[in-house]
Amino acid sequence: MANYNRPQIQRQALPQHAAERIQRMRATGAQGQRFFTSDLSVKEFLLVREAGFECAGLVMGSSIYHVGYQQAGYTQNMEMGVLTQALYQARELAMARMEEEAHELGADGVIGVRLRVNRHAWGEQLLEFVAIGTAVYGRPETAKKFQVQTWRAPSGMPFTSDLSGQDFWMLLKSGYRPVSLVMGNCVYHVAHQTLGGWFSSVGQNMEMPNFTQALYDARELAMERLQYEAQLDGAGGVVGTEVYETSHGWDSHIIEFFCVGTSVLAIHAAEAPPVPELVMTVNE
Amino acid sequence: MTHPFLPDRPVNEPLSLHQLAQGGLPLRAQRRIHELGASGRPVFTSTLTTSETVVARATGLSPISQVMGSSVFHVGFRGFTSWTGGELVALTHAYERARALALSRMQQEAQALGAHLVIDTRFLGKGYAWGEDLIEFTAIGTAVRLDGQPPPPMPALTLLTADELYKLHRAGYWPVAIAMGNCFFYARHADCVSEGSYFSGELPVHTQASQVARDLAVSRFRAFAAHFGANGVVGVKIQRNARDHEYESSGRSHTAFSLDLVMMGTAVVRRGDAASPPRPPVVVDLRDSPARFGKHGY
Repeated sequence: MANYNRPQIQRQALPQHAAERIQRMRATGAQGQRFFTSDLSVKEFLLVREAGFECAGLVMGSSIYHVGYQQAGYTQNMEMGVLTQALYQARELAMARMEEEAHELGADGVIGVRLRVNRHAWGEQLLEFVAIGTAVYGRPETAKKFQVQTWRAPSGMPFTSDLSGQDFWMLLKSGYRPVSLVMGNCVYHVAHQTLGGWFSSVGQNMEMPNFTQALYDARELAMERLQYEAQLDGAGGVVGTEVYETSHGWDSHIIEFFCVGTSVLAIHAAEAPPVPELVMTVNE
Repeated sequence: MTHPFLPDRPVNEPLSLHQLAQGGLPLRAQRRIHELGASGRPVFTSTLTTSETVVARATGLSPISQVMGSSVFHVGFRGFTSWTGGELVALTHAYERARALALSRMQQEAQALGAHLVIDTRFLGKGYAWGEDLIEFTAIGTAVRLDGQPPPPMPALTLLTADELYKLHRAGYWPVAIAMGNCFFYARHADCVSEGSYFSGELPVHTQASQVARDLAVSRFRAFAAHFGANGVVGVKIQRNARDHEYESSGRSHTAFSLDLVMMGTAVVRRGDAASPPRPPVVVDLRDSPARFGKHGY
């Protein structure tokens, strides 16, 4: 495992218990083997090792965020910029803390990242954002084989991705490596229909362009932000994008659109991607 | 890696709304598509998983971008009791039209990108608490290009994943469109007589309604596929909701029966150069059971 210098970017200090846990995990055992924790399944673990990587440990970051209040016009379709940014920043904070744990472990990256939003009964206005994943590091011969200087992201911090162990193995096989978990969101207020608008549509089959545009714009903004993050990363593309729509317990007219995926970069020294063959699986 | 937040950039809202009302794309969608192509270093985005990306690349498909189409539709429906029975034409048309509008917008996004196909199309269809008579259909998929081929005038929409497309290609077929057929049906008096009876027996009204609704949906579905000159439709999914309604009329209680059917699949044509597919060897799969949706627990 490489010893990385601290990258010169804005960083999140770890809480004491986290720092102690990481410190204990960095210690090597009597036979020189390292103790690790992970949330990988057995098959994922096998394939991560097969890809030339080792598990460093389970890493986590969380942020409890007080989401501010924003007034929307009753009959107005608009982005709730304050809420969008709050949710965006909270996720970034949780991820930055998870990356910090991975950095302290000396890992090259984090796979299988899950981003969760929790609401607790003791805080009506509070949202907890959690990022959990398994930190991994490349064996020295792996970097040599792919002629890769570092597996880390261009910022110098560990790469992050929501890929499973299988997807990670497949991605490296196909000549790509993960750069970072990219996301975009948009909290949108959908206008209440005016009485006049309601009367003109009663009993009729018709598209509602106002509503269509509102929801369309909200999703496009989230996707645009995801695209923008990937471009900032200098990535070649994004795989496995998923789109979620949630209301986080707000008024039913306020919806968050959230897009998340893994940005990837081509490895120049990689072999040609495997040619798929038709096979018959004997699994149940 | 922390990223700065990209704020919204204003667009000409009335023009955006006007283009949308013509069945086109809102300006923010056009801008995202345009910027993706215009950037010096284009980034691809896709809904494909890693292994699907590998299959896509190995078979000469390049993902360009995630594409989307959406339509919010007002359903001109006045409740069941005013109906004498038969097909609920207004409902059938509303759902058909909303789905067609959403798919058409997704197709326009793909067309603007010079794509050959849209694969991995998924539908999110739902009603919202803020609009009782409103339905929304959203189609999300990935626009892909066939390497070394000039873009077609209109990309073909499919429900196939990359590996399904590959298997289909190996079997000598090529997709042309997403075929659809639907029907909403209502029977005003549905077998009230047999209620409380101890005897087993067929419910003739229910049976008849199911039969007619299915026939109508299937005939539309077949006509749709035939319109594209398809030899067949693969991966057909059928959604069927059926419900009994109790209501009071002239002091007596009655039962009505309603059901709706949607059929969807990918219409395919047989290619001339098709070879017979090879016999697959037997393997043990190392994948975990698929959990494609909701990885982040929403």
